[in-house]
Amino acid sequence: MAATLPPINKNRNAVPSYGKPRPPPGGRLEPISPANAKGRRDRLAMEKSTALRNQMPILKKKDIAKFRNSYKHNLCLDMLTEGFHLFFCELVNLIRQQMEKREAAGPESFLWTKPVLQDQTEKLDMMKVHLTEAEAANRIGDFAKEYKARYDLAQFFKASEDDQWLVDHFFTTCLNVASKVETDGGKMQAEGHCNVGLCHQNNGLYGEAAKHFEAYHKLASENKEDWITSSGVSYYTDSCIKLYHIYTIIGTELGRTGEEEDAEASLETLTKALEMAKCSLDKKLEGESSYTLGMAYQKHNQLDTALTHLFNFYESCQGDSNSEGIGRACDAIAKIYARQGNKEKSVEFLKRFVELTEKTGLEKEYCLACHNLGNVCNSVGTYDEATEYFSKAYNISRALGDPDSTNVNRVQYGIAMAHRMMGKFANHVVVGDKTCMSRLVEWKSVRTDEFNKPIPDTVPGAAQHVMIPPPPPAEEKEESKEEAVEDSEDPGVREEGDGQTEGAAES
Amino acid sequence: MDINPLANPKGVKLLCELCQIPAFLQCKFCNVTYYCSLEHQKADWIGIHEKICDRLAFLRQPVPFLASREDRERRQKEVQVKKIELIEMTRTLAQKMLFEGKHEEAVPAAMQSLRYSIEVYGVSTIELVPSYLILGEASVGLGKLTQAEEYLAKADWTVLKTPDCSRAIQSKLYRNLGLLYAAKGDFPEALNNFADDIYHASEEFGTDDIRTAGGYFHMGNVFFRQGKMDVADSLYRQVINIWYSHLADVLKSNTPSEEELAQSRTRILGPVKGMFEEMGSGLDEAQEAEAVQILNSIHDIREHQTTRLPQDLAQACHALAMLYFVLGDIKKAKEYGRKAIVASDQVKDDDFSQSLVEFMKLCERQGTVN
Repeated sequence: MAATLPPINKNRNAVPSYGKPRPPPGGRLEPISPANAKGRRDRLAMEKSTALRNQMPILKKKDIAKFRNSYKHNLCLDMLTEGFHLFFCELVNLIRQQMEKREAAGPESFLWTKPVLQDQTEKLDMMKVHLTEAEAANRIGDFAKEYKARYDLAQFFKASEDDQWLVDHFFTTCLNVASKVETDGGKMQAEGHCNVGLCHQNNGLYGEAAKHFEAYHKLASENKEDWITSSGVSYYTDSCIKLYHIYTIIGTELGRTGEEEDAEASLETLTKALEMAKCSLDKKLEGESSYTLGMAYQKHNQLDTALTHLFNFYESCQGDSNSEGIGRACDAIAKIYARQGNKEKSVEFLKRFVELTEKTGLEKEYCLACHNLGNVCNSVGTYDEATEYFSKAYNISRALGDPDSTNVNRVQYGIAMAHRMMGKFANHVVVGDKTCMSRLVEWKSVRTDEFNKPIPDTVPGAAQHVMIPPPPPAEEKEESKEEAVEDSEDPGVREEGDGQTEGAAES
Repeated sequence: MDINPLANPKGVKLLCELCQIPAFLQCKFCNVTYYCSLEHQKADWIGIHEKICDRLAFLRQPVPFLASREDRERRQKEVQVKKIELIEMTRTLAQKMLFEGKHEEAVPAAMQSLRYSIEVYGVSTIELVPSYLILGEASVGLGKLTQAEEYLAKADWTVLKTPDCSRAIQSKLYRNLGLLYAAKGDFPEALNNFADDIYHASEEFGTDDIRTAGGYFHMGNVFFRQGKMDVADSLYRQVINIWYSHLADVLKSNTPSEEELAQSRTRILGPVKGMFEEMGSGLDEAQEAEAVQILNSIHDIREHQTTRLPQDLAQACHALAMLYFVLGDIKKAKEYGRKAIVASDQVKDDDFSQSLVEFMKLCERQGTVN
């Protein structure tokens, strides 16, 4: 060899000099051994320590590394020496991704309070078990097994709230793996799309989710009969249901923005949702879907279309005697009729609603129904009925102990009673003879309601009731809220107080 | 009693550049380097001296007399910078020669780098580790395992004593230790070290960096020798993928887009510039040599494999073709490109064929330009 390798220790192989004798090896200590220890005590101590040392196991490099390195480091080394490098890459990148997210969020964010993946040993172990299995399967081309392993892992992480991003990751990789499986005609792929879609749905990426569900639907529709889930539902139906849900969500989201374009799109998506619900052959879903669509149409002032859809819902509810559904349908239909100005129909449906809820004992709905019916009656001008219904509503809500609705109903009840009294009160004022005046004064001072008694017929035709026009219905709720604050315990006093204000305003 | 050769001034010892024994020959270009024999002079010339002759002449000239302190300090700084440059250069060259398999030629360069590192940084500092590693690798290549172990042990110790040592150096150290154990035939220990190498490199550069790929490659080799073909295959695939995407990126960033091409064509009167004139590979010399070594050996393995997947060979060929293209060897690039096309016939991957076709067009264009 031409080139000599340079020595490590300059002292040992010292520079050859011109005839100079070599210096003694500098700085090297003699080995310590019991033989050259001085004194008996020293020797004994030395022997003891040697004996102790011999009892200790001889540590290899790897054993030392176990103590020196972090848990993650050791895990990675184990994996790599066994050749699972893909798993290693995945793990390192996942950990890095989490750290970057944390860094990006800054130390004040809530992410910093959560434990990071690399410190959670049992999760790392779980990943190791499943991912090594997955990689081993990958090597021999057994993608179904790999899919299974990844799927299990995703299921494992599903339990914990903080690990949703891992669930997303593993479901996405599941989908990638599934697309390599060719033997089962795309069944796994369909599952993969379904899972990824669900992940996106949870994360609020509805558009993405819809895309995956559509792919799922497409695959499933090619095998309508053959593919059945463990719970006995066919994939096709399942896909329809999932699509229905996502379309409904998207539709409602779009409807909320209130822009013209979005409204169109919203109606379109909701129509798609309805179609999907029809495909799923689930009457209940179909009904629900019709209801949502109907409400959307109603919101965008297409009342007739809304009515058709709501009637569909009504029928479907009647079909499986879903009284709660019928109630909602009646309510919605009545509202639309009211908006169209068709009071009779509106009242009819509300009455149905009331009857139904009365029969089935759905207290809350019953209360609502009475309230709505009262409102309509109030606006039509049939104050007697209005009072009756509001009193019902008031009593029920008091029984239910719901302070909000109690207050609202209390006020409405008062208003209705005042309206009822108003006609006669006005009549008394118009007639204005002695009896009337004394009654009015009486009422002013002690609130005794004697207006119902017939007026002595001093003036011909005076007993006729003066009809006053029904008040505009809309503002009542607002004012009722304010008045509810200065509320008293007894509804009787309340009613008169209201009557007084109304009366004062009139006169 | 010291004996001074008569021709030398008293107290001046002229020692051989390579073996440190009294020297009798002088390099006639720089006049500051001495050798014990013609043999050593030749070895040094081939190894490194040719490239650093004039630098050494500057560094080893007697210190001129400078009157002011500022002047002296300035000069000191200048010398320091030159020395550091020299260290970098010799190291890269040594590494390159190692990748090319010229272990013996790498030794003089590594020695030079070690010598100046000691001069600049002092004994047993972390900066010496890369030089020790190169020497270790060279010794492994020369089959001098005890010597290699000594170097690596020294490096290991230094790293151990430097707690905040950079991960890049650690990764290199473990890679060399792995190579040593692999040469010894101690495969489990080699795997442990390569695993450490990959871990540190991944932490430093990311899992898909070309600097991590070397670890995968050596690990693949160990598995290959152990007969675990499936693992080795998957590791090789990873290496090829890493290089493939890296080279594709380099190509992409260097080639002008279609629009620019069209523009340059319409400007007929303007000077027709060589479109790829200043195409850089984005790699230093050592990395280039490493790429050539790794990709070629994987390609060979793939070619001789009977049960390979067709796209593996195709991708290896394509990566090699791109590499040669980037290095400016158009003939070889075309050759491997053709091979890749043949190999990719059985692959039904349109994206891959597409990129291959585009690459071949690029080759043709480049061929006409030059």
